Amino acid sequence: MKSSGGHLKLGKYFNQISILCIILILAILFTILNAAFITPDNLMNIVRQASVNIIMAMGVTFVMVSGEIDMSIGGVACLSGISAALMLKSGMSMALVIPLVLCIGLAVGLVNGFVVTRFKLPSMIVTLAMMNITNGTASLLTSGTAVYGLPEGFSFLGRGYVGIFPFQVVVMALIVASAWIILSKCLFGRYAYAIGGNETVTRLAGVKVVHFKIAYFMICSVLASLAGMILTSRLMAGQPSLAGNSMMDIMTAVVIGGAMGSGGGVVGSLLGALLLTIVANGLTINGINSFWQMIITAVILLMVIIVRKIKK
Amino acid sequence: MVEIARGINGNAKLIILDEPTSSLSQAENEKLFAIIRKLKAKGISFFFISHRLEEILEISDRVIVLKDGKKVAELDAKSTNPDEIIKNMVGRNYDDYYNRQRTFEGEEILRLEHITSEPVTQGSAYTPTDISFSLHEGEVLGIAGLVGAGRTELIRTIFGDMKKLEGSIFIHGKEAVIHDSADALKLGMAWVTEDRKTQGVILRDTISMNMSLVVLRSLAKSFLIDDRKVRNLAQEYIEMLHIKTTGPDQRVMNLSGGNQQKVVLGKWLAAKPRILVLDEPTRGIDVGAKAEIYKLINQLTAEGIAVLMISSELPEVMGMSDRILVMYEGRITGELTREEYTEELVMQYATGRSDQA
Repeated sequence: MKSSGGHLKLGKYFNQISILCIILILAILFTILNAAFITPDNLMNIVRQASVNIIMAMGVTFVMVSGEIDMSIGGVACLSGISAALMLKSGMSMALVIPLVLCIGLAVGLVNGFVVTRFKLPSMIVTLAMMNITNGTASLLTSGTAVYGLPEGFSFLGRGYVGIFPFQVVVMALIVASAWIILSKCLFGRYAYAIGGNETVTRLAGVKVVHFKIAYFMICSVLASLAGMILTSRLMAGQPSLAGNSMMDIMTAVVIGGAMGSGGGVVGSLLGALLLTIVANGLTINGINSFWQMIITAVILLMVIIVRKIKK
Repeated sequence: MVEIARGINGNAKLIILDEPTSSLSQAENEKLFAIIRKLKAKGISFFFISHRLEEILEISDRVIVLKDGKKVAELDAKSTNPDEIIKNMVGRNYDDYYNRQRTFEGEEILRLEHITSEPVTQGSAYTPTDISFSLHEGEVLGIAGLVGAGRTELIRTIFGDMKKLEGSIFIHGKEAVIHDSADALKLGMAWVTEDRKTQGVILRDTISMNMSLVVLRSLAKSFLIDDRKVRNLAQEYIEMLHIKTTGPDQRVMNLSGGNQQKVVLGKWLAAKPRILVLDEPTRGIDVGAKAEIYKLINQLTAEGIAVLMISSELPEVMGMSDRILVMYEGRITGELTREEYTEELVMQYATGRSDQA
């Protein structure tokens, strides 16, 4: 009878520790190449950029842990940003717009979840379609041009501070903490792992798998919506091309973090998102073409999953 | 059969068959044995690994008994018998093997009336049609029949996994509406499925996680899961069911078939069901673990739990059941009490003879 009890204790944290190591190595590398990397201004940039990525990654984590995939996050973020911008520009108050746009996120998640579960379709295809629907809608709403003239107050989301912390970092921290508690300690989160492990077993055990899956999609989309609004607030403009690469980047981050396998979770996704942000920032600071970023990110992803496979 | 054909197709001198018959029907069995005999005549040798002692004796020349990784006996197939083989495997007599004694005579707890399922679309089984029967507390009701007779489909219908077109289900005399396992659980029903690897356990998860899956809600206080309670639960059933493991944190994929089955049983027993449905509970597990499961069934019924057991192993169905329902092509063709049933009668009903109106 094989036993792998001993290996697990180390293996559980191996993934996260190795990502942390890569982060440190890259940080040192980038600093050597260009000291501007380590300036307080740039570090603040990294933190801000990472916050949005982390927020989206938290949502995707729920979906991926449960065995599904959500390709529409970029589209949802974009549509949310545009919707918020248009609504604000037309004079609606922030107190009304923000909840309303979050509801758009919830609605998209609901549709994603419903279509996937009701018709038993692969989530990759359903959410791919949704991605196009949301991006297309966003472009239609603005006829492809950017939306300017947003009220000053809105900038608080992306540029404001709570004490010494940027507002979006505070939001991110709250979301990460909640996600961590839910995924590791709550019924709601534990079921996600069970469903991802074997959906049939979990369903036959009396768990309403359909309800939970829809909930996970809704969480993913609403967080993408929030991220879209923060990004729009940072730019103080509604961009129809917002979050174009988000889907690939966040997905990569979460996969690196391990949510697709059996060890993933909040910490992994957070580290994955941080890693990706540092790579993007470091390459930009050193003047490297952003297309290199795509390649390097993808190479890191491949290396991570290959190493993981070999370890098995 | 296709898998077996693949193995036999090459020009091998030695063919090893590991549990080849566990998913074969009687007819396919006979075909397989005919092929083996033909190949034997051509000089090809076989290792035939099986838990089905009658088969081993039928097809083998010599029998080797392995226990705990050691060879404990080498017997001549013509001169030995199942009794001797079992004695070598578990150090116990055949008579003590099933040891079925019904000590709890309870009331009717489950009744089906004229249940007909939606047509079966996946696989080649027959659709359960016009099924009626009663199950009582403390009783073991065996469901016998050929592979494909529709027994598992009947269970799926009871638990809402398949829709029913007609008929009613009564629990303690009250009509029950069951849409899914959650409804069934609330009514005290548990279902140990046929295929533990894909429907019974989450292989990559630990024993703790698997064991607590059905009752997880009750192990949480104010939304947070109490991990200590989870491990204690797992530990409790590991001990009660004699699961051979390094501990509650071992991944279920690393357990043997028999121990995996015990994890599935533990998972459902944790919910303290009043009706336990077992679909082929001892398929593919060793004689020692089988004996333990029979003992467990006896213990449970002594406490008043009602057991519905599907089995394709005739000795098992006959050894353990108080009554036997026989299904053929989706219908019940016979209902026999312990005093009435014989191997021939069961086989007759299983192959089409019917006493039912």
